[in-house]
Amino acid sequence: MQTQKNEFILQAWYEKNGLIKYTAHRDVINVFYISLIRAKLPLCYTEGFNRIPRLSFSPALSLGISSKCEFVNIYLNKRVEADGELLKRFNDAFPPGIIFNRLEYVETDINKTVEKIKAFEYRCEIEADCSLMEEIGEEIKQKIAAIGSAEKVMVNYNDRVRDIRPYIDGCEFFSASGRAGFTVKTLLIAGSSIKPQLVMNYIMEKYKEKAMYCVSIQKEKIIYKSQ
Amino acid sequence: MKNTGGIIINKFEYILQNVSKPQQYIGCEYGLKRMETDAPENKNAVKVLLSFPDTYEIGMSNFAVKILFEIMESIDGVICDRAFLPEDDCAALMKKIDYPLHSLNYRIPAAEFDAIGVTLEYELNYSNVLHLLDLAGIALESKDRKETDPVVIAGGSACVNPEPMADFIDVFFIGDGEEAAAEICAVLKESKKSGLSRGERIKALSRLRGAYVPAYYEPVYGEPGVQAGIKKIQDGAPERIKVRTIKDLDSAFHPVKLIVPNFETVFNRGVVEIARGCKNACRFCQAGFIYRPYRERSVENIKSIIKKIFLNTGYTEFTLSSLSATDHGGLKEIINYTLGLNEAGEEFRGALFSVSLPSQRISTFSVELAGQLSKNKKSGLTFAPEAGSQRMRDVINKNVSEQDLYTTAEAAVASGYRLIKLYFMIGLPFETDEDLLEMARIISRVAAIAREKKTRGFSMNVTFSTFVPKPHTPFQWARQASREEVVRKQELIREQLKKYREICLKFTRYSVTELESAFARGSRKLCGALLDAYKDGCRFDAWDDRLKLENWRSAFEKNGMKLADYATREIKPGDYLPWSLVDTGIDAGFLEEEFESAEKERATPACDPGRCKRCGIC
Repeated sequence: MQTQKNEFILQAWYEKNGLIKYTAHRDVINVFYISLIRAKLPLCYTEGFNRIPRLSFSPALSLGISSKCEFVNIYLNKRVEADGELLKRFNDAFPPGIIFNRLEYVETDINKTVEKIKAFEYRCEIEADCSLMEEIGEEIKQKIAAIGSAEKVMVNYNDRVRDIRPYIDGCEFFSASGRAGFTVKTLLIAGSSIKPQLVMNYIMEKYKEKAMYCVSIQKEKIIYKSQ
Repeated sequence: MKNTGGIIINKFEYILQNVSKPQQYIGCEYGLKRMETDAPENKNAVKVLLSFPDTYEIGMSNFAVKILFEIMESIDGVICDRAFLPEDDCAALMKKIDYPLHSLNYRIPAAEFDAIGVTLEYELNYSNVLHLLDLAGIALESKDRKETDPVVIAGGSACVNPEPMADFIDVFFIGDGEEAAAEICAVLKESKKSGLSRGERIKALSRLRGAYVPAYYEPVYGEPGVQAGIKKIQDGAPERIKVRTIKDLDSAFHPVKLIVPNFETVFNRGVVEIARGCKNACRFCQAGFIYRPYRERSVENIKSIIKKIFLNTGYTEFTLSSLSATDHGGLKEIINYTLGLNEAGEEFRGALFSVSLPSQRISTFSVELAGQLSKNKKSGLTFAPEAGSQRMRDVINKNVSEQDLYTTAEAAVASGYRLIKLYFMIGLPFETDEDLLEMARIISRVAAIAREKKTRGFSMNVTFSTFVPKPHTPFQWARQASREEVVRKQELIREQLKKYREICLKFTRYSVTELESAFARGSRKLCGALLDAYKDGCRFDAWDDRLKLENWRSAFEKNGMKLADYATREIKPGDYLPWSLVDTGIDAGFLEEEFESAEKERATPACDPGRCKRCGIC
């Protein structure tokens, strides 16, 4: 847990809940810088003119997605007990919606943690007018079922058509209490994955322009290669 | 929320998922009090919404909003929240799905507040105020508001001429707001408790010092369109509105908790107001006159504020705010203290502190200070000589000499600076072409200094703004130069400096200053033009690419005025001034004397607060 440079790597696991999910990842990084200073941690800083706290983040979470399982490696120049008191210090120092639930010291950089990840599981829910849900429910179900057997799933992304099928490890429809949606597992291949919104856009393609609906996407868990 | 027969569609989330930069609409910042607004104990709480008529990025950087919010949020029985203007895509979607403007933190519809405070700091934000009220679903004109509508209160430096906004604001508060904020809340609380009607609430507010209720006065017009006076139509309303002034700045409230935005705003850092007012009496500068007298915070108080802001927010970058920061007697000590804070104790260790100054005097002291502020990186230095010739600097009372500028430039170049930014103003009263040629000459001389010193990679950015005559200044009677004159002057300068590749010239757009000039010295007659322009799509006029000048021209014409003529009109001394209802405390004759001094190219010494009695403030 202590690196050769006399640094301690504290891995902090957190949830990103509520409206703060609409804060982009690059802004979240800045939120971490100032919040960790507020938490009065013995931070290590980067070298150079614009010195900033040394942090390494888990793969970026897309804008508008909440998560139960984000993590960040924080480099400290002094060991601080990773106990409940420190966890409280973290939660008091961060804006509402970023909630820490686990702190632990690790010995290796963040890439070693990321290398162990096979996929992310998301829960994607559609909130719409009841009549719309009735109209589209069955169609969504069929479209989701078809993804499993499809060779390609072509979507528009950044003005180009892209096949996202290689990244989809499974997609299942659910419907409960008048809500409908799907869970999708997106594979992490060579350090990159796809935004779950792309799957949502593919499924809702027909309704995107003509219906008023909301989506709620949450990263539920990380699936490791060893699982 | 829209109940659609089973599933509830969250309109707010729908908007967030369909607009750009949704983070500006969510609140969720660190440093906010979280009250249960629905709790029984808050049933009778007074709800105050502080709004800024621009986007979050700009509004959250406004110091007045920070002061007022922290004061009001701390008062028992007050629920205080903020609102800013949404971008066009969001505003259009809000209208489309019938979702009114809500407050940022508690998501309460703006129309459900007891009072809405609007900061008026810039004339080109006036149409945005109408946009804000419109999005909130509140009648634009005071006379059309319902009993249940919030009281619309305005404050801020532009209120020293409230008349162009008179039809839209229920109560103006003119002057320093720290004490007024608490008094306003007390009146609102009491009137809510007593069940006063909306009109009675406004009347209760009108009794506070600095309050101006436009509905209690009626303008009197002489020649067509020219205001000749104002008539009081409400018993008990004051003859003149005395501007509120905090006498002892050191004991005045300073915000230290500060809400920390979750993304980059214009100024996302700790701001410490080290002084208010300005000792220098530049005759074009409104702030230099309306914020008199010059008041400083003590060094010890400033140090304590910096420490508290750091501990509360985590900000390590501080701006020492003042109209002329280098005039503060303890500036060096404050900077040294801030930069050395990381040695001040365990809680500061490791943090890297930095300081920035919004304005710097033309002096070698400024170069020395700048070096102290940025030990490793020499980015650039900014100075504002304002005028080119000594004659013109005497006219505007800018007490710097040409030699000061050269000595400062030499020191900057010798200290390793590769960029010098200069600010000038054109179209000033009594300006001649010779003054502009002088301006070009001194700009080229500064470039020559760098060349003589063989400064590699040296460049200069020179910005030329256009003079706008402002109320309560000695130049309030002066006319603004016409578009043709300004364009010709700009060309003259451009021609003189075109051969210098290292000098980059930037001229402000005349259309923006034309509108600013019209509203800065406008009468109540402009309310009609403003309303028509807004209905014709004018908003965000301060944003160069969004200003719809043709629509503004039409709106002026529709109301019997010509925008260009109104902006460039000269007012004769002795003519009625629409803003003369506002009493800043400056003797009536002083501004006229200063105007005469300008005409005679005579400089006036800087203020010596407490000792000199020239303007009547001290």
